[in-house]
Amino acid sequence: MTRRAHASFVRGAPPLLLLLAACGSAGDPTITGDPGSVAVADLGLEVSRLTGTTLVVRAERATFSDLPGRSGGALEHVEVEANIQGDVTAHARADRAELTHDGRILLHQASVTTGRGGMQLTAGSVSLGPDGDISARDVSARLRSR
Amino acid sequence: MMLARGTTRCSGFRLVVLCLVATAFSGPTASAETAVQAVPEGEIEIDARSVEIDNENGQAVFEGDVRLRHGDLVLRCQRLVAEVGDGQRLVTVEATGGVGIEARDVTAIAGSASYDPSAGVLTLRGQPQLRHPSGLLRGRVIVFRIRDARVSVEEAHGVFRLR
Repeated sequence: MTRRAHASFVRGAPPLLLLLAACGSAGDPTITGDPGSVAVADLGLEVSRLTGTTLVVRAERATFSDLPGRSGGALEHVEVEANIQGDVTAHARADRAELTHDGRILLHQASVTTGRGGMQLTAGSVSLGPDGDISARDVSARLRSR
Repeated sequence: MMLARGTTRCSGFRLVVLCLVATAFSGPTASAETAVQAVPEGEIEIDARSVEIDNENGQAVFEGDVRLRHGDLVLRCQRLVAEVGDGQRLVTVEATGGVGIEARDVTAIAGSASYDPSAGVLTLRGQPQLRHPSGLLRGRVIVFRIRDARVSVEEAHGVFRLR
């Protein structure tokens, strides 16, 4: 049985190193793949900032590469929750996602709900930033008119 | 859809034009079904190539082949800024770049448009033109109150078919 790994990241810290440190502290994560990359099943990952913005990422599977200049990690079956000062600003689900070195999460074929159900978004790709900002491509959004 | 009356906020020639507008648009019209299925009551759907959402300021900017649907209204443009207010509901939208409007048997084009979804008021600017089976209407500003099918025009000029 795979143990859940948790990590709290301060923006600017190298995600891979922190993740690996977190995996080590979790005890016995499942590690597969070629040397130079790891795959961690049942991952719980928390990316936080001192401003109070928090991105909580959960994924069934995550693969991280340590090659310089490449994305920080590839995730499968992902769920993301963005919080600002404890207020949920976005909740997203996606089949696939990438953690980028600039602290963003790029979701593919994603569905996002912003605020407290304010806007429902389906998109080919969604980028969630560490400040809780959202950008998306090929989008269809639904909003309330009253 | 029937467009009932023009405003009285104009005088002389403009008022005459609007009376003609009222007469022309208030006649029986053939029902024209919209090609797309209507969005559920109380919801607005916006499709676009991209969107940037600023949660802090309650603003979403849609760009590229934007299409907004609200009830029978379809609005197309290249850039649309949506303001989200209290209760997470859409308060206003500002559309720019090749704005096109469809609302049942009324179509319109304009350089820009603003839309208040709760009031159902659409304001067209930038050489707006509103077309109906019975005629064509131009003006400096065209305000289309969708729910009661009223049109008001500043500096109006209309061309209508004689029956």
